[in-house]
Amino acid sequence: MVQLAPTPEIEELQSALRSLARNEIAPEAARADRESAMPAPALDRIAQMGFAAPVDERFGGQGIPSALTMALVAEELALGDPGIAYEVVLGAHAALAVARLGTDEQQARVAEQALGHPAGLGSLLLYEGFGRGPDELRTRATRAGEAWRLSGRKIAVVRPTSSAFAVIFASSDDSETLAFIVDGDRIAQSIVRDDNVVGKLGLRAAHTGIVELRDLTVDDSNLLSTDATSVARAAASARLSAASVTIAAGTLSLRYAAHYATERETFGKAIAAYQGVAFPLAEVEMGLDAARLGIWDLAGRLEEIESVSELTTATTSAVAAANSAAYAASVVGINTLGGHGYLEDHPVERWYRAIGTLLAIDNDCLVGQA
Amino acid sequence: MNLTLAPDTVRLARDVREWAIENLRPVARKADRDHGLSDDDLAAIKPPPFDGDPASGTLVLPPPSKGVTHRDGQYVVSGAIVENGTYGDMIFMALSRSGGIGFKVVELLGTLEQQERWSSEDAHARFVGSGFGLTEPGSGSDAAGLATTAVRDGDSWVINGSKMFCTLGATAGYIVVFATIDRSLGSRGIRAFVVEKGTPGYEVVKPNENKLGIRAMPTSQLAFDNVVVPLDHCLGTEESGPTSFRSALATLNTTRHLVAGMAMGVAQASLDSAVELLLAQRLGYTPARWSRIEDEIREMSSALERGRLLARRAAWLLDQGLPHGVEASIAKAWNSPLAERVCSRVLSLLGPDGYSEELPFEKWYRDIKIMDIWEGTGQIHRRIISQHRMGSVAAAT
Repeated sequence: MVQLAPTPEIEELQSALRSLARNEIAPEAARADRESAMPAPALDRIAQMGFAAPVDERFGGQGIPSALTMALVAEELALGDPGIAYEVVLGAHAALAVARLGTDEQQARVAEQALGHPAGLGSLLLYEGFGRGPDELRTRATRAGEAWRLSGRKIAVVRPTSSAFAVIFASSDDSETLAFIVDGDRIAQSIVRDDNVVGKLGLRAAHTGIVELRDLTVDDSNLLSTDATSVARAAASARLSAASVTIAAGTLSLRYAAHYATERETFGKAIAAYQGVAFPLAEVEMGLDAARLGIWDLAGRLEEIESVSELTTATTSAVAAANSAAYAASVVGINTLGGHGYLEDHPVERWYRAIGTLLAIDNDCLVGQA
Repeated sequence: MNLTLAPDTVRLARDVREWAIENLRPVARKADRDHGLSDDDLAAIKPPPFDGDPASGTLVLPPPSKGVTHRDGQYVVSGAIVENGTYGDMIFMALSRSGGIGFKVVELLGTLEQQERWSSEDAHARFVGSGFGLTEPGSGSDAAGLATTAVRDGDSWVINGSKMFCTLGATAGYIVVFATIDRSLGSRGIRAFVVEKGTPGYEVVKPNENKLGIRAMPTSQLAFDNVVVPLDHCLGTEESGPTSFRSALATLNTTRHLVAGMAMGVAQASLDSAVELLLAQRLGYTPARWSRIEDEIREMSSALERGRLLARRAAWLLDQGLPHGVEASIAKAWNSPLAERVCSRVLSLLGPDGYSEELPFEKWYRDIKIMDIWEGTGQIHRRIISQHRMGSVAAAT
């Protein structure tokens, strides 16, 4: 049955996250973007709440959030700042992948690292660009006797030089999607581009980079799962959380521009009085709402979908809708402020850059366009 | 009917593009990071293959090739130059420190004596650049709502107020400042005043705003604190005064086609450069995706060509001395979002190469956003277009 009222637990969670976003993340956002630096106090608070690297209660953590809960968490954090949220959320999904796919021993090891934060956070090697979904990965996991050799190129890898552990999605010789866990320093050795060094358009608070694995040798103790559907669900959940960050970035633009439109006057009236200003904002509101509900619906049904192809296709569609809606929001956001929107005096330009970056990370040209 | 550029214009456009790629691209990233082109980098840029400033209407048309009888007019040629110059990079528009549309306003509104002082060839040499001081912190699209005042005091005017978004304002030899002499008269009470650099009370509050893009183009904030100028610094005569504001706004119609051209230049550069990279990475795509990408490249190219024609039409009308306002609005309002979509699509297709500062695409994505804002926002142009079609009842609110 349809039920859109959050449970009391979710309401309480959202309230706590909103407070965190408003009081500890948002005030740091401009500086974090300018300096490409994650604010430690904000990260500490998120970790205290159990969302920086979620760990099962069996191993001393605060529990594993569902895909839907994680999408909600991602959006609330990103309403503080998309860049800060992106690194935290994608890193959290490394721990979540271990929780979903790993053995007790693997989970216990991650718990030991994660609960000893700040050094114990994860990195997720999922995206490859070229519109590839998790069932089309070119990163290969090739059997070599008792070992595996991993080779491939991963983009938008968070914490490429500082993670305690990393989860790598790869495709086997049988075209099955697998997931592995390795120590973080093995990824640090494979970085070929550090975005903090060369610079990037947006999401600058998130430390990201490109990693190239060249016959990275691991063994079965590093293998998280061979169950293709479970692996696909883990990947889908991560992508939907990232899409929730994108929705949040669009929502920030909408809210800021709408508020500005009610205060800025021209020709004797608030600019919101003009349909040419108000209607584009209304269109943006509609698009974001539709995309958000699509994410929630899919995140809530992930465990019911068995087909890897359906998981991937549905997720790609939800991501594309989020990208499209957020892009429109970022453009209308700046346009509403006119010349002022183009200045760094207002945050809309920062969200425009963030959304441009998010669009480039997870984008399949076969499914709509932003 | 023919929408093709004359052979001489095509050759010149090609030369400008090659010059712009060779001279501007190598310094563009540094200029973006530094929020300005250094004197050394500026000095190292070879002279462009044209004389005069196409952006401020002082382009010197080159002599025709032998046997050529049909040539494009100044505005069409200027449009082609600007598109191809900005194809190199938007710093093309910041190169001509002797440019600026203040000169055009003087030409349009000034008496012969004022034109001699401030817009003649000699004046271009004496005043390195001119600024257009219209927008204020509290009035943008509602230009007539400006708050800067000019009060007559004996044989002087005393100006008080502030202006922002003044391109090249910090370096301009003079600013044409729009101020009201009587707010009760609305737009009929607005006059244009020449305020020369160094006049006491005239201050550059901010030489260059921190902007999303076009960071190397000085966008200045100016303040006028009891600035005293002689009476003859008010452009025009007592008779022409009441209509001078509306006439001055018409100046913007002579530059809007250039903005439409800039949008095409930057977007085309982004697309062409992306195609090179995409071809090199072709094997990374599945055949289905590559086929879709090829389709999209074709569609984007066709759309940009149509936008180019819209800009060219507006320029041609200007050259013919025909009404051109709504065509200029159509070109600008259509081309700007189109160019944004192309730059955004390129960014998405290129993935990590799109958002990295190692390559120019993320810069072009930032630069292109200004096109739908300056020289009249997209909303204002849609209003102009609507009212042209449907009368003043259209888009009334």
